Amino acid sequence: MSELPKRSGSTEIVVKTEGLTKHYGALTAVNGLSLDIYAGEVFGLLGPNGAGKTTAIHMLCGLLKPDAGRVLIHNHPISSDDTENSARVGLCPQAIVLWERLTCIEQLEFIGQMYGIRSSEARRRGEKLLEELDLIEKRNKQARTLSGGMQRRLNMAMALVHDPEIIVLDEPEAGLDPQSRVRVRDYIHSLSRRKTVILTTHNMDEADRMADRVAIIDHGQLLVLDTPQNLKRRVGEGDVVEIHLNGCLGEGVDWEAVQNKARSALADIAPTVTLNSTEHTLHVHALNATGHLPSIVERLKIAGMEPATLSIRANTLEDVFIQLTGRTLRE
Amino acid sequence: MKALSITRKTIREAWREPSMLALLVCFPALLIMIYCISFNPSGSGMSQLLRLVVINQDQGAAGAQFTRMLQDAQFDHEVLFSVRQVTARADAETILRERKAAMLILIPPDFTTALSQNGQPGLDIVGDSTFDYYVFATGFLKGMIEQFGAAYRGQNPPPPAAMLEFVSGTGTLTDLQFGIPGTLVFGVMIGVIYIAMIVVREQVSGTLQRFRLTRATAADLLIGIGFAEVILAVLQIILAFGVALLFNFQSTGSLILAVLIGVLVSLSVTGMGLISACVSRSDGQAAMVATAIMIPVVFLSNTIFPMPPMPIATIAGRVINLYDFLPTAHASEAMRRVLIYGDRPSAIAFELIALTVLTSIFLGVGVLVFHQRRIAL
Repeated sequence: MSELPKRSGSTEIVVKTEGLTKHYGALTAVNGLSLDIYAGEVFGLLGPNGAGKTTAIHMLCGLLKPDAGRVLIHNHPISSDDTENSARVGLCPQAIVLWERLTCIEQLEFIGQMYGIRSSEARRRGEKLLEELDLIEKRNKQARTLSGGMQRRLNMAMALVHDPEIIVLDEPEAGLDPQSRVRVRDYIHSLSRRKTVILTTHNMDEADRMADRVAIIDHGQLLVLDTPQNLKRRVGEGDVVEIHLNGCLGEGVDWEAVQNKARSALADIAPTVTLNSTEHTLHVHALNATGHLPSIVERLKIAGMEPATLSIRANTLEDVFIQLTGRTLRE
Repeated sequence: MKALSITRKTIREAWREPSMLALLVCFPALLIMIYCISFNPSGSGMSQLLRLVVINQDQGAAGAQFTRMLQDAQFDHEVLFSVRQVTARADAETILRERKAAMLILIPPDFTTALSQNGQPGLDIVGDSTFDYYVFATGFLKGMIEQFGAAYRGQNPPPPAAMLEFVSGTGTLTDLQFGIPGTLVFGVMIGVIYIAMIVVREQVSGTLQRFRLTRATAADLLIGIGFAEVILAVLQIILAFGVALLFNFQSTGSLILAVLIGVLVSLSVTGMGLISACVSRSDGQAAMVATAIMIPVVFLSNTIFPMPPMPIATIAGRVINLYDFLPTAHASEAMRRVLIYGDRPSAIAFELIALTVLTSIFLGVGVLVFHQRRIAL
């Protein structure tokens, strides 16, 4: 059972998905995804590329029809002609989707009008959003003349101009320069509590920093859902020692045997030892990993595993993913 | 209203692509200009059609008199023939083969003598019997030769076997006059390519997804873009009509009615553009598909070239041809009758109704296909 979101603490379910499934031919993009998303929380959908995150949010926004299951917003199933529910959701797509020959303010005014907002009101809201996203000086510039970072921020403003209750951000930090990333992150933080934010990402750091709760999905299936802290706690308290074994093992290695050997060698020090066979890396989770480091190295050597390089770091959501799938998020 | 917002956005975007906009607005005018330059020889009226080549080998004076008579001949207060004199038969035959003249009149060396002796002019007339204007010119020439012979002998000319009479307003109609209304329709039809491209652009850039998020309908999009296309068509027709007037196009009809016909055509254009966009995945593909739709719609509908009858049914005494299912067939016919014959709306009611019905069908199919393929989940 996952915890309620920390920031909002709300128990009101705003978005509910029930057994959401989508196939593309033989490929199952989303497989029986069931989620409850609470009012005012920042909800992260974490998974590698191709995990089904974008497909899931497109169904959630009514852009795709599920093959099975349904999406409920405030307990009402969404449909393609449901203008009331559609106005409750704002989607910021992963790709920059702008009319390149309209100015910033014209884009916001136009999309506002398409949501049924009066022209003057849409312009007023547009001005405010441009101010908040530090684009006000570019209000009369055509989108095609903006830098990539500015276009991304405008892309986000387009999802907000109709003042939706639920904001869906698909990979909001993708392609952002560090300055824009900080600004977007701050802005998303400022939205939380006022709005329900659903963000997809394959960036563990982004999910860890921003989300109140994180659902990790892979191959279209929900693997785990909880707060980042709880998820990391599942991997084990303490730190992670990453030990690269490359060069010390011959061809045709039985990696499962290697993992088992490492686990038995470190059994009393580290409760969790996982092996990434692609990167030839052992992930050893241990309390006081620094203190145990000489002992870990010594025991691995005795077991016939000569570490090539090693590093120590804190637990991340990526460790959770590795523990669940045996793969990194980048794979 | 969503559709009006889409219209405003479409116009803004077009305004910020001035080269494209200028090309679109000016395209029919350019077509008219090219058409007029191609079909506007030095003569005027009937003489543009009835061009004669004369080789005068007569050693007397009658040959020159006959040639002058041809040059001075008039019909319906207009010069009848355009006469070009050459000396070599080979040159004359080349002109005939190129259809730059309707016929060659060879005046023999003994033309004057023969006329004086037996009253028979003895002319050689050479031409291409499959060329309509050869046959047409022969009809005029036969009587004129008889009149000339009689006059030369000081006799009264024989009464004409038949009186030639043309439908009001057509006596001096030329290829130029006749072709301009169809060319106007063709010019407006270029919008199919434009509409297809702008709609596909929405798909490719992902902005169509934004429309879908707002739950805008295919009808909103069609009305919005269609209204922008209507404004474009009005500008196109007014500009092209102005250019046609500069090239001596004589119209007795109502420009407002012509614009109304153009508006109906532009709505068909919107429907066809949407259909083209639905089966295209890029700007280039959209342009190709739209052209593939536009060309047969224009060229198989009497818009530019006269089509042979292709009857498929007779309804209420009216023969329905295969091309009557194309809106351009009725648009060009209506445009021609308005601009050339000055017909009023009541006189072209059938064409206007047919055009409206076919336009509605194209729009309806456009919305349906677009909704199913691009909007619906």
